[in-house]
Amino acid sequence: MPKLINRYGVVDATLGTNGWVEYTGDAGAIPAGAKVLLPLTEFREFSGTWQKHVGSNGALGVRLSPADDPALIANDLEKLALIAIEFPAFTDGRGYSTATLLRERYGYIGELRAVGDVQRDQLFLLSRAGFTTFALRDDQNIEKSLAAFNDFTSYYQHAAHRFVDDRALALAA
Amino acid sequence: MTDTHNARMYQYTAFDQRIVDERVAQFRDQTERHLAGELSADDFRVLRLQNGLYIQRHAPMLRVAIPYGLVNTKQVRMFAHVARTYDRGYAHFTTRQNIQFNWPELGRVPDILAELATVQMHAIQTSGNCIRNTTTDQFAGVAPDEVVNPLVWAEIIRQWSTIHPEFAYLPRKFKIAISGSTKDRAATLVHDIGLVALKDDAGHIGFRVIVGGGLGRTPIVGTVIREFLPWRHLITYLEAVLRVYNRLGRRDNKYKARIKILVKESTPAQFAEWVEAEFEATQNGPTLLSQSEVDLIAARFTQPVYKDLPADDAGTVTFAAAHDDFARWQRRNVHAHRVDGYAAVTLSLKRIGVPPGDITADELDRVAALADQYNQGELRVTHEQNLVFSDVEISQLPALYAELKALGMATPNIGLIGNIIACPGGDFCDLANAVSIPVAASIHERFESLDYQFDIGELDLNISGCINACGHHHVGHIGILGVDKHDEEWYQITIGGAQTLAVDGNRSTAKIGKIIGPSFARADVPDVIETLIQTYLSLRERDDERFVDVVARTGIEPFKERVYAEAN
Repeated sequence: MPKLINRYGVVDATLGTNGWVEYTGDAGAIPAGAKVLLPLTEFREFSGTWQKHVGSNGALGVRLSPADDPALIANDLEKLALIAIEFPAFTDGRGYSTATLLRERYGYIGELRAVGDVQRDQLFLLSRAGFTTFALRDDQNIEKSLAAFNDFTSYYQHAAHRFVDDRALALAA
Repeated sequence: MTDTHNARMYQYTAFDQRIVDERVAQFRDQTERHLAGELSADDFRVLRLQNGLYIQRHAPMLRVAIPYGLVNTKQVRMFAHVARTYDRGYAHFTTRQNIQFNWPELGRVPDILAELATVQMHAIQTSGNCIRNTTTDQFAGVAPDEVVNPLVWAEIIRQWSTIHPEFAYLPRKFKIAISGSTKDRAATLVHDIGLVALKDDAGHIGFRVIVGGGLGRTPIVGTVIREFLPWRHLITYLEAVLRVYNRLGRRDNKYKARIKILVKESTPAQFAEWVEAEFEATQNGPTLLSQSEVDLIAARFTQPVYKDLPADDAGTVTFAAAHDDFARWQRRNVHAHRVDGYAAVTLSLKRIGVPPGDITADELDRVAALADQYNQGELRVTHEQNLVFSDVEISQLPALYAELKALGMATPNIGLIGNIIACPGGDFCDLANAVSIPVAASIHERFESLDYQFDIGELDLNISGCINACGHHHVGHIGILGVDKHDEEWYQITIGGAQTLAVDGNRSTAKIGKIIGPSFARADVPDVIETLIQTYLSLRERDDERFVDVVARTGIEPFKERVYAEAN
């Protein structure tokens, strides 16, 4: 099972989802009031229907593939409690630009989660690009992963992490 | 703006030192996890490449960054120490102004990096699909035709690109070159991004921005997408280019993943439009450079101390008149300097029997001693795989010449056919289809006579062992490319290429060479080169009409006819 962490600790060590359910085509599998993660196309077409379905107790999130353009959800960010960005392989760096755009250009301040091939050795970079939660690949060691956020104590350049609310993150861990 | 004309080498702050030290610790941990079986070979591969470590034909190869080609003698002595302690007593200077060690042991690489860090050196991003070491003119700061000293800007780019979170996993490697002279000596037209530092009519500094040039499988001369970018926007604009490339560059095929393919397939006009749109949205934001930031970085640079000297030195003039060999060396290996009484000197690492760019530990120590004595403790590595002393007093030239001659580094072949650029080739490199060094050696021997070399005049001969083109064969006046035909080594020949074919005002033009026809067996290569040279000598109209000028005038046909007539 993947484990979900943020830079201050473990968020969900059992299912690694922190209560989010992924919609994969079977709407019947999603209970009312759920926190549901939708693919981009599904969200764009049926966000109204889904909002009604999950109601005020639930929440909506979007899962972006590497090629998805974040501009397409720029006007819907207040509807979203989670954006998950997928890394099919850790070497596919498109998600770093997606995250940067969401934070800097479009002003998204909610949870930004890295999913897929998420390993210890990219955590420092992901975190600086504005990601706040990390669904670690199954084989990753939690303790060593948490240490990775301190691989470097400083950095040379501006990046999107400065839009992240560290206190909220620490409280969530 | 601070006068940065004399800026030479950036000196680390405690901040810079800490980042490099932390990088060493990070890589040590990664290496240990790999050796303990916790980090797979595939995952580790990407990480070690971003720290300059290849696993090669015989052993690992470690590529150490020489930021924009400048080193001090303390660093050179460290190279000698590393070569002796961890390697087989020698090192290799590359065409990217870096240095490579060919035989280190994987488990000891973190120790090597820790030693290098003590002299402000590292191997960060010297390989992998990230922003590589920024390269520049080997005569930066001293060239008489310099408009803007590019070194401070190169350091600003180095800092910005180091461990940049957004651009660590690009579709492919990414190389930036910067030049600040009227004649481009940094090959800005054949880089992923080329920058030419300029001044506008009011004297404000800015950059001409060129994108999408490159060699390799698809050689392309880059396109100018901005004629004058005011300096404050430099980083924002670079980020705009990189972001467009990171998002839209092809990742399905590594041979089509460089930015040049994106620029070509989308058209340069479309690409420029994307970049401008991105820049429009981000300009005047947090990446806007401030005067104080530039000043603070500039203040960390060493500066040479110049004496008030006459333009020429009577003793050296007299010595040259009496010593033909010295005069010849002065003509080829000594270069004009913008300060009276000084000259820049190229130390030729193109020696009969030694692979281009190779140097032993003892030679490194000796060169360091000479740089301390004659060049204020600093020297440079050129993309032609030679070394440069940038600030030698003209009165000292005869003494320095004698020392270099004793070291075998005074061959007066700079700019001549003897100054062959060659990648390590199939003798060392896993990617190569064919060997490069023995081919360079056979040509070197054929053209050993310096009289003959001087008669031929300016000629760049570049050799690559495979299509990745580390030997820059496409921009050689004569280019040689190793190809694999039915498991045999063959060599394809191009002519008419040039890193800088012509200079018009402050604008240089580059040219990709043309293939003359079917490839040749290795043994025939020296004969073919000889025929090309003979053809040139019979066609040239004036002594100063270079080989590459004749090809530009006549086309490749007369050369092709002669070469293939003789082959049949």
